Parts: sequence; C-alpha cells; structure tokens
Amino acid sequence: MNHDGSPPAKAFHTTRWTLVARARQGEGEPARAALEELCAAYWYPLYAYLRRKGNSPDEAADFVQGFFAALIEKGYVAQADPERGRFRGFLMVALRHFASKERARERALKRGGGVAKLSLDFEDGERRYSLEPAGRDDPEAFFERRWALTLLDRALERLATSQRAGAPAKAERFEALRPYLAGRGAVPYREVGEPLGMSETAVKVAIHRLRGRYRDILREEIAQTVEDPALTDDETRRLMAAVRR
Amino acid sequence: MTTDTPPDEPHRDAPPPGEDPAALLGVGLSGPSGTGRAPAPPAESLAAQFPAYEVLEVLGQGGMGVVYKARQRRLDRIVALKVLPRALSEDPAFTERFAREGRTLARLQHPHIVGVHDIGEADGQSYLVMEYVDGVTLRALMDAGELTAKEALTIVPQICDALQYAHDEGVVHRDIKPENVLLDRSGSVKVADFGLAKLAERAPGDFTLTGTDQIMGTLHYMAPEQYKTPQDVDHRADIFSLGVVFYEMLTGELPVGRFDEPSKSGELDTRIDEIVMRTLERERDQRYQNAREVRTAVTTFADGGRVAGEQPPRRREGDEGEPARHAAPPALTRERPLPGPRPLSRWFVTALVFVFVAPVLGGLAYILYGALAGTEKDRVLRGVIGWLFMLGGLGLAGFFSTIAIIVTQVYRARVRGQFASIALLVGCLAAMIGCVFGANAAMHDANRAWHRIHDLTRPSEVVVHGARSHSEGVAVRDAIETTLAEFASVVDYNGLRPEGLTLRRLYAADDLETLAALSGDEADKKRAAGVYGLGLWTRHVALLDWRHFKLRYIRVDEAGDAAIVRVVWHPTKGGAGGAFRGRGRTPPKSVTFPMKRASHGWVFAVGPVEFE
Repeated sequence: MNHDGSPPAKAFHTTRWTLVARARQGEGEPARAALEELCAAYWYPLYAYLRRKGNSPDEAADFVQGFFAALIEKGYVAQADPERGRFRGFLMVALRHFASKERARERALKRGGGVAKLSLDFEDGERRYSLEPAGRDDPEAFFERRWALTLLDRALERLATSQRAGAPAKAERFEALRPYLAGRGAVPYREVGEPLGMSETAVKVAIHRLRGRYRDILREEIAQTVEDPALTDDETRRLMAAVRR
Repeated sequence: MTTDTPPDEPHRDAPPPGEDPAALLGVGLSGPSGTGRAPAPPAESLAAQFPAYEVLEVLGQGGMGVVYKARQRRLDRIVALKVLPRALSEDPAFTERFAREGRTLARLQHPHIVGVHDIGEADGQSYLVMEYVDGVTLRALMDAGELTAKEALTIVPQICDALQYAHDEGVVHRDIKPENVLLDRSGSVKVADFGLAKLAERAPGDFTLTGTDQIMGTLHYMAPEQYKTPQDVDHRADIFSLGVVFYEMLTGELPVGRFDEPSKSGELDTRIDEIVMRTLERERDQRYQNAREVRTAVTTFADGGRVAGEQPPRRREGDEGEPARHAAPPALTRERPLPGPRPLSRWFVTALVFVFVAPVLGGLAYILYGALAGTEKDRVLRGVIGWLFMLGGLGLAGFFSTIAIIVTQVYRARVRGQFASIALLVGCLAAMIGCVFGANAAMHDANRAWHRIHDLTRPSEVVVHGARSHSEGVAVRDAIETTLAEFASVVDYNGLRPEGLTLRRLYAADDLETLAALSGDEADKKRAAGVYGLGLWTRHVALLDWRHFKLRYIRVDEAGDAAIVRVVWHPTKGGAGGAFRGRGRTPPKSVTFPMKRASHGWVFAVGPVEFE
C-alpha cells in the first residue's frame, strides 16, 4: 500500500536492483543506469568499509572507483551470483572478488585507468569518515551499519525534500515534527503544536501522516536494493539488527 | 590512514531521541503493509471505469470496498471515491436499496459527517462519491498508541453530534468503529459510512462480503441486539458502539469479557466509569437514550475535569446538538460534574415496592394474629402496635426511597443492584418482624390462656369444711372435682378459650339429673343431657380436679342450710402451668363461694362468683 510517497513512475514491482540483476547477461542500458544510480547512492558505506580495513583515503577512493567501474563496465554482476537477492550482499561479495583480482594485477594495470569514473565526492566521504567512532567492530559489521545509516539518510532526505517543497509553513512544521518520526519526542505534543497553531490532536494527525509518508519512502528505498519487493521486510529487519549491534 | 575520532566530536552512534536509527528503520515495518488482504486494484486501473474522475491513489481498503482519492474533473475538486465490492452490486436487491437509501445518505449534511456527494454504478459496480477528508482514521491514531484520555473527551462529543444529527434524520450508522471515525488536519472529527452497514447487512448472505478478520473486528463494536435480533435495531445500537470506541480510546482495549472500568487506566477519575458503562449496557433501555445525553455527560465531565488553562479544541460554528448543554444546573455542572439522570432499574423499582409493601404485611400479620388471642385489652394493644409497626415501616420505606431517589436522580450516582439488595433485605426484615411478633403475640395469648385453664382445672387441694357428715363433704368435693375435670377436658378437647375465666355460676350435684334441675335452664339441661354429662356449660363453670384441687373449706351456717366454700389450688404443683410460670413462686389461688342446701343436695354458687 505504497500509495502515498511514490510517484507512479517508480512502480515498486520493478526495483533498480531487479533491473540490474536480471540484466546481468545482456547489460542493457536501463540496467547500467540503474546500477550507476545505486552506486552513487551507496558508495560511502563501501568507502568507509575499506578505510576501516586499513586502507588510506586515496587507496580507498581508488578502490571504490575501480570497483564500480569494473561493475558497470565489465559486467561484474554476472559473476556475483550468491546473495544477488540483495544489493548490499552482492556488493560485499563482489568487492572481495574484485579485491583478490585487483591485487593480482595491481602492478600491471593502472588503477581505474581508461575507465569512466563516477563523480563521487571522496573529500566529503573522508570528512564523514573522520567523524566515525573508532569502534572495535569488524569491517563487515561496520559496513552494514554504514549502509543502514546511508539508507536512512536518503529516505529522510527525500522526505525532507518533499516536505520543504510546499509552503514555508509546511517546512517549518516538518522541522518541528521530525523528532517524532520514530516515536515520542522529548517535548509534549501540546507544546509542539502551540507555535504552529495546531491542537494536540492535529499534531498527532500530522505526525501520523508524516510517519506514513516516511514509511512509504523508506520501504521504497529499501525495496530498490533487493530483487523481490517481498524481501523488503526481511531486509529491514537485517538492517535494524545491523544498527543495533 | 586510520582516523581516531576526537572525543568531543558528536558522532552518529549516539543519535538524539527520536532519531534512533533502529527505530527509524522500524517504522518501515509498522503500518498497513502485509495485512494479507487481497491488494486493492491500483488507482490507474480505474481510469476507464470512472472517466469523470481522475483516480489518484488508494486511500484505504475495508470490508465495504476500496476508497480512492480522486479528482472530479468537471468540478476540479478532490473527492473520496468508494467502490463497493463487486459481489454486492451483483445482488439486484442491493442495487435497488442502494439507489433508494443513497438519497437518504446524501441528505446528511453535518460538519462531523463525511458528506456523500453522489452515488452511482459504473460497469456494474456501485460506488459512492464522498467528501475527501485530509486526515487519518481514529484507528490509526489509536494504533500509534498516542491518544490521550483528554483527546478522547474531545472526540466523543463530536461523534455524538454526528450521531444525534443522523438519528434525528432517521439514519442509524450501525457500524461505528475507529476505522469509520476520521480526524481531519484541524483535529475535527468526521464520521464516515453512515448507513452502509445496513445496506450490506440485508443482502442475502450467499457471498462473502468481507474477510473474516473484518467481521470479527466489527463484531466487537456491535451492540448485543445487533447480532441477537438484527431486525430490531435502533439508534441505541450506535450508542453502544460509540461506548466501545470510547472505552477503547481510554484504555486501549476492547470491553470484552470481564473488563476493567475505564478509570483503572489511571488517566481519569471514576466518574467516567459511570458514563462509559452506561453506554455499554447490554439492555438498550438502560443505556443513554440518545447521543445528546452522552455528549452532555462527556462534556460535563470534561468541563469538570479540565486542568486550568487547557482548552479542548473549539468546535466549529454551526454545530448542532447544543441545547443539551443546558440540561444540568450550573452549580451542579461546576461543583459536581455528573452524568445524565439514570432511569430506575427494574431491581431498584422492585426493591422499592417491597420496602413499602413489607411493613404493611408485617403490621397486618401482627394485628390479625394478635386479634386471634388475648383479652379485649390485648387486642386493642395489638391493634395499636400493629398500626404503629405499619406506619413506622412505611416511614422508613419512604425515608429510604427518598434517599435512593436523591442519590440516583439528583446526584445521578450509580445505584442499582446494591441498593436493591439492601432495600429487599430491609423489606424482608420488616415483613418478618411483623409476622414473628404477630404470631408470637397470638401464641403467647394462647399459651397464657391454656396455662390459666390448666392451672384452674388442676387445683392442688380441695378441702370441704363444715359438712355435716363425711359423706356430704366427700360428695361436695367429688362434685367440684368432677366438674373441674370435665371443664378441663372440654377446654382441651375443643381448644376453647374461656372468657377471662370469670366464674358466673357453679353447680355441683351427685348426678346429671340433679345438676340439670339445679341450673333451671332448658338449654343447659339439654347440653347436660346430651353432650357433656356433668356440669359444664359455656360460661357456667364448675371446678374440679381431685388430684390437685382442694376444697379448702365449706363453712356451713347455723341452720345448716348454707355454707361458704373456698377452693384453693396451687398453680405450681403439677401441670405445665407451673413449669411456665416459675415453679414455686406463684401464690396459691382460691375461690370462695356460698352454697345452699337444697332438698336434693348442696347447691353452691347461687349467683355470680368472683374469681380472684
């Protein structure tokens, strides 16, 4: 019942990852575009993962670029069968695969040479990484956590964009209600509603609607990274487990 | 290479409250996805079926079809398009009813009712075009678990307004449940789907209208009469359903089985119980009789329970159902916010009647029983006591019922079973006291009479003095003893009560003929001859019992023609009387009377003899 947040164009029966995974033999243009889009969205967890593994910022950036280039240009997807139901799982497997090959020929080949690069802002990535906590968790767990947070960022950003699009009052209301997306905020509803000129009930109605919209966006975002939309719930639970760890 | 985070740097592992990533992800799992219902036809697929509308998206899906948000092209307005299940429309009876009653539904225009703009049929499927409400259902708010009791107190009166209006228009909703109560962006209530349930209900049940879960969900909100006697349902069924919704809003639970009173949830004081429970009465006669009463009760409660400075959202102008607000006197409203007056329960009335009837019964019992025994004085006394008892009981009954009526009507407290039980108990006690005292008085009298007779007829000593010869004395003594014995046997035999045992005349003779002749009374003669043999006539008592009776003396005059006889007996000796009266304490009793010698023997008690 994904009616609220998604324009009809993004009918959820076909996700980007479905496109990518199905097109692995033919390498059609839509698949390529979809993959590019996915990579542009989820490169940071990969980058952070590599950094956590001990690579320098430059190494990590090169690696990501090379990996994505290989993915997009060279049909890497075809070789990454296991876990192909999920983009996240696929990325990890493909990355390991790529890493072993890369090491073998890294002296022979200039990294990323001659391949179209995605425009990824690695400087920003590094800035973000510098703010990451120094944890003891292993790089894979770290990757999954980054993945989940990136996904949340995207969903929240989309929600914010859609809310800010309207009247200034709507944007203001969104900012005030945002803390309530996932539960009760610290401030009682009545006090939230006062500056906005809303009754307590009206605040609740608004929060409920906002939450509904956010849920739709989030589910859609998650659905984009799995092959079958039915896996969405499962993927959500896995991500929850990842951020709780 | 590796970067250590500066200790003071905020980082993403400690998100602010409400930004917990797990919780934010969890939102994706909540909500309407995966309900198991067959998916609604997507909005785009309806374009051909409804050319006049641009169907935008699915708003919701329920037992009565799918609701879409749509734009009515001609008027360029957003509407809610409800497409009823195809199965319904295939029933010609339904479509006919739908067309007829649709007009009634379209007439309902009220700020708290989702208006019906149009009804129709497209490709064999009935649909309704309704006012689009930009908001959420009460169900969604309740599921979020954030509805406070205070909000419930502002929501319920609005539902009441809608119901009262519709009921006045002759439309019963029949399916009030949180799914049908919408709240728009201003927090104002809109009740949807008026009368639809009835349309569907009457359709023959050869197809499944709704999923099983749907029926079960709705059942909880149904008034008992809706599934017991569906053909006899009136507007009070809505009152019950409203009560269920109210209860659920306050407690988060459905009032099924043995459920707690709503005040147990802690947010409101116990006065709310009275209101909620009365909407949930199984007997509709016991419920509030119309929605206006509920509204008055709830707003009165809310006014009294409001925290200073907190104003519930103002209702819009043009609301109806206002007059009821003035029902309670202002002082009461402020001091004691109370629900509307309660009708007296059947138990209560029964008890009340009994309280009045019981003392009357008791008093009558006392008077009647008392009148059966005892002296004239006794009977007068009994009468007085009986009447006093009756009046006193009635007074008490009046007192009790006045209090009860004050409690139920003025203070409108919940007085039912408990009071009725107490009143019945009091009534029973009153009746029992009357019966017991009355019976006791009668028995006491009977007892006393019996003892007196017993004592009298069993004198302990009979001595005859002054007889001229021994045989003469013996004759007199025997005569007296025989007469007494006869008297005692008659008393025992017939259970008669001697009239205060006043001796009028005493006869003694050796044989029956002599005695009959002595008395000179024809009736007495017959009786003497026929029935009793020696010596006893009603009111004409002779005393004799040779075992306990002693003729103390017979004083004979100088001529030997007259004598004074004194009979003495001791009530303590022998006989049950002594046992009852306190053995050995009662002084001996005696009677003194004159005797005359006649040609045939001694005659005594010529003229009345006073018995001491």
